[in-house]
Amino acid sequence: MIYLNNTATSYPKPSSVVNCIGDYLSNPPTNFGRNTNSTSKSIISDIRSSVLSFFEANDDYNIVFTSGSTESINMAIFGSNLIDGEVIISSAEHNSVIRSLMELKNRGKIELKIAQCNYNGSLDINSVQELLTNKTKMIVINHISNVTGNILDVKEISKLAKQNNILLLIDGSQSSGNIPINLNEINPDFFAFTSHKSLFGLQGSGGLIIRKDSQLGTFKYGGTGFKSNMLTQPEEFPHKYEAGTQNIPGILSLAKGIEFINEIGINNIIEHKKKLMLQIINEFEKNNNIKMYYDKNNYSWSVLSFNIGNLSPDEVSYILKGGYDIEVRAGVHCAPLIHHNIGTDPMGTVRVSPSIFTTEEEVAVLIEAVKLIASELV
Amino acid sequence: MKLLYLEIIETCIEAKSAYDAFFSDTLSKEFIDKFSKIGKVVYNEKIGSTYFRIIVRGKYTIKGFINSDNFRIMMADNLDNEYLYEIKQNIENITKS
Repeated sequence: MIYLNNTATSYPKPSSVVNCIGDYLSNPPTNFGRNTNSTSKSIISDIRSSVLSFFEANDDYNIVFTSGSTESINMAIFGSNLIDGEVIISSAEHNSVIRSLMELKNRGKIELKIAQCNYNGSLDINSVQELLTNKTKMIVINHISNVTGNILDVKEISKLAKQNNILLLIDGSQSSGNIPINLNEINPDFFAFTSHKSLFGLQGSGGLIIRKDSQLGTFKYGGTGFKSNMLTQPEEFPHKYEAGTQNIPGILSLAKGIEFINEIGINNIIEHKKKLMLQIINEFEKNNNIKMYYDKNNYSWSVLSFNIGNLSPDEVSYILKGGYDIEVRAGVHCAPLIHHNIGTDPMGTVRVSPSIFTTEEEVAVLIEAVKLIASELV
Repeated sequence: MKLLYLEIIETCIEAKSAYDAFFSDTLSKEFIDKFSKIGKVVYNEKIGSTYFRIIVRGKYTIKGFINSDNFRIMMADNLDNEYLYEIKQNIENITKS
């Protein structure tokens, strides 16, 4: 199988990730605060430090381990005081953001405003600025669109948020592992990420990086293995936010995934993907029946959306899978709003996303298959 | 050749609803040809191991590949049960003949 769906979840995983899960499950369990083995505490503490270091987040930040971006985003949204305020999002957002905020809107708690991306999916900061009012309490913004692969200018949006004393939540699901990220420079209040995409970890693990002064309330309540006689949630970090048994295999896999990226070098990973993406883009550009959706000036090289003539994306992905054993994704990719902007509503796009493990030969098979579909079926 | 089971496709948005039909054996051209009694059968031999579409106008489209063990049924409206029954009957008739 030729796997080109790494934006959904990465495959294959590095052997170090695979082995660490086997090792963990083959040995007596470590469970923070729930057994006499203190090793788990130091391991998890070390991983907190290494993850914060990977994202270049200094002592102003903490990390909360979660089940992934969706839980992280819910934690930031439902744990912040947004009542009777307005929240601004971009039309590039994923349903993890849209549906969480729509729930608050439908409960009558907030007003939701949407800054529209343009025809190629990029976002002009002015479209965010013009939605600001004195009621705006939070901006939620995608770092890299999972549809177009465009990088949104989170640094400028952060400046805008700080100038207006507004909370900023960045959805880093697609940016984590795909571009170098310096949270000290970007300076968000919250940064949500998941392990299983370009950080090569397990599904069901991720984190929320939070500014220590963000006043984030507790989102999830329960046992933490700490101050167990207390009937209320401890205020101490991380117990205030990490109720329930931690996903230790997931956290270990995240650490190993980050180690793998650091060993190879994130810039080498970007160069590899850029080479593959250029191979695709240069060939697709020659074909009038293939339309691509991205902004050349703000592109991450991590994911490419396209359509072939008037064929539905489902049809194309079905043929790629059934005829050539190529795994891509078709549809709106859980980001429905941006398709109004790029003109792919309601069917969406075909999306390809290689990884460091993808070869030029595999990409060549994709190109030939797509060209054939374009010549035979359009 | 037997129809083993049908699996609903939840992500398909090009049709009202869609199902993958799985068979006990691989699909031959002779087998697919027999669907011409209920609709228009179109082949494209250049794509994969021959891509086929069976278009039953206004009702459903079936698509798949020769030598595969499954095909996809895409409904044009909400009469899933009626059309699935029709397809099952047709498969039974073909395999009996």
